[in-house]
Amino acid sequence: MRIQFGQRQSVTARPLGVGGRIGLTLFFSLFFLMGLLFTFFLAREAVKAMQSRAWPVTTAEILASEIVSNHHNYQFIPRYRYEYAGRHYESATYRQGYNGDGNYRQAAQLAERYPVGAQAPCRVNPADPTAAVLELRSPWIALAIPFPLIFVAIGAGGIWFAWRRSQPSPPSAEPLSAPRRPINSPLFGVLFCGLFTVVGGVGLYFLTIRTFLKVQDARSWPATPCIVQSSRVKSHDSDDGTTYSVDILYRYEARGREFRSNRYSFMGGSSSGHAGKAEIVAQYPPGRQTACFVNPADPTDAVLVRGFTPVMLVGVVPLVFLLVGVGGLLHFVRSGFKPTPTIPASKPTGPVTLKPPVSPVAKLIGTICVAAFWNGIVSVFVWQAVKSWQRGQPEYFLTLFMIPFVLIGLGLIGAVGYFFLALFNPRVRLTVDSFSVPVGGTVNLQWQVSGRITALRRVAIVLVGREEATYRRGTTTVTDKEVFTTIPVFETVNPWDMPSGRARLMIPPGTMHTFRGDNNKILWTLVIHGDIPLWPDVKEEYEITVLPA
Amino acid sequence: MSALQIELTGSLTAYPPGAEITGRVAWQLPTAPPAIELRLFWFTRGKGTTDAGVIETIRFDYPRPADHRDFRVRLPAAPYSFSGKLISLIWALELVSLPDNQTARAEFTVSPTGQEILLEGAR
Repeated sequence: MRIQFGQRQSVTARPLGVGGRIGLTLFFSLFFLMGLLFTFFLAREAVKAMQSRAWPVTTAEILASEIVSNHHNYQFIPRYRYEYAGRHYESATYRQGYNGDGNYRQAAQLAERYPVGAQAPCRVNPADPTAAVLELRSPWIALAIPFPLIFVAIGAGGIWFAWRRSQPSPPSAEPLSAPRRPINSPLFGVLFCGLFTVVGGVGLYFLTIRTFLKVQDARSWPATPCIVQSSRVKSHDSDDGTTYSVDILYRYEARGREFRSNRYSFMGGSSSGHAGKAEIVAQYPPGRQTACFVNPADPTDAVLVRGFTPVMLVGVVPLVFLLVGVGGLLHFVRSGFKPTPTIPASKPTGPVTLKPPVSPVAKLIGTICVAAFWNGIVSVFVWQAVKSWQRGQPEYFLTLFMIPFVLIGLGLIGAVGYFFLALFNPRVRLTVDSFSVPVGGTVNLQWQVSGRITALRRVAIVLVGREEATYRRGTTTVTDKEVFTTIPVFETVNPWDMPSGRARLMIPPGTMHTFRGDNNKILWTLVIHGDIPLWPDVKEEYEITVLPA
Repeated sequence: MSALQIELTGSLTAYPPGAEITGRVAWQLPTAPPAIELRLFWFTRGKGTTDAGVIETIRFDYPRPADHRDFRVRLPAAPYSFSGKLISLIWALELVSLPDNQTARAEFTVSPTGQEILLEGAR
């Protein structure tokens, strides 16, 4: 008897209704229009940047060079006079689109570069000579255009998909023996891990390594008296909520001149949590005399706290990304990008100690990573919800929406506890006289249990044969498993029989050998189960290879 | 009228692993194709995405529109034909005219017992 399944395509290719098509069109139109809008803005800025490169150059005399503090930034504002086509003009534009920077030093460096009375080249718009700039805008903005174009492509593709006419494929359009692509191509995995590696590496450099080097370098910077000029907690509003940063402006003297800086520590940026920043700001009221540390090679470079601060722990996050990416790439390199043979080759006989596919420590580390990643993301939204309740303006929808995510997070924390306790379980060492055994053949196995053997109430070893079928469901890959045989090998509740023992195992004649297709598998495993009351059970699985007879 | 045919010697439907399969293929096509291939292969049916493995291909280049050829292929030692709750593995010979992919297929069982192996869960 042979089982027959319907063609998967006939199940999944149900045509969309008009409502579904309109819904999809609206959804993807959002992608399309937003992508188009951003593409337009970026293209316009790129064109402007390119146009200003053709503006004629003339000499400007700097009349004023100031640094102005607005709500968000420190902005360098020059005033300069220039001559064009026989007439004199004045301008206060440093660069098109320039709005200053949160770091005082950048504005200070510009003021140093354009001191009052100096002469500097400037570019004049020939169509409107009242418009001039000291610096050109970077043309690299054009490189950003492909990013919104991805959204345009997704939107257009989605709309096309929603309205395309479904054409029934002719029967047996392709022979079954035609070559086919595996659904889990290693290329996708390599790209995915490569992306993690690049993002983790770049993040690690900018967030961790660069900061660490600065901290090390600053250990030799001399302490210099400074006076706090202003101090505040600066807020940064965005769609994701408000974040805060410390902004303490202080002045100091170096090389006989007065300088200013607003750098508190070497880790910049902003984050949620107002209270911690307010505490820091309260320690530096305006007028307070304290000490800062000044870079002897560049007196504009100064910092109030030159050591490590707790916020620098955020540098661990890109390290996790980097480790995941590099680990994945190493896995692909080790496997040599070669597919596993469908029919396993016979291996040399001799005693072999079987190893579980994942060690208890690896299970714990993997679960900790997943739990940290999941709960890290969820905690941001939970914090927003908590704050809304604290403000007396509860966000009911956000609170309800977060409940299932929080439950999953709690489950993951529970799993971390489970695998941590499992580290202290008795360890089983399983040895077989041959790694591969033919159908109808026998294999001798031997086990030794070490560790807390007295905790075990029952030990059982079974041979399990199972099918695994991998297929696509929508955009996800699913693997179904079905056990087709379970053969008891050994079972005892007698504590004297548990520490070690031997058994002889026969693979039933007339059964199926190990088979490893790209998507379909027949696998044979030895499963050891040890019951421990009120504690995670011992459960390990070891694959053995069953060869054709 | 197009037609492709595969005849197995003795009309056998089951072979032991490693056995030799002999037979005759015939075709009658409106025009002469650039090539016709006979492929010995296995494939899976069931819940998982189809896997297939071609073991041997015999190619007939520039054949006449209507003709026939005898063939002889040898089966490997594995995989066996089997059926479970999720997966079936089927052996077949497929005659394919190129490049239009007209196909004829003859399915058979490969097993040491002469019967397709039924995984216990499928009984």
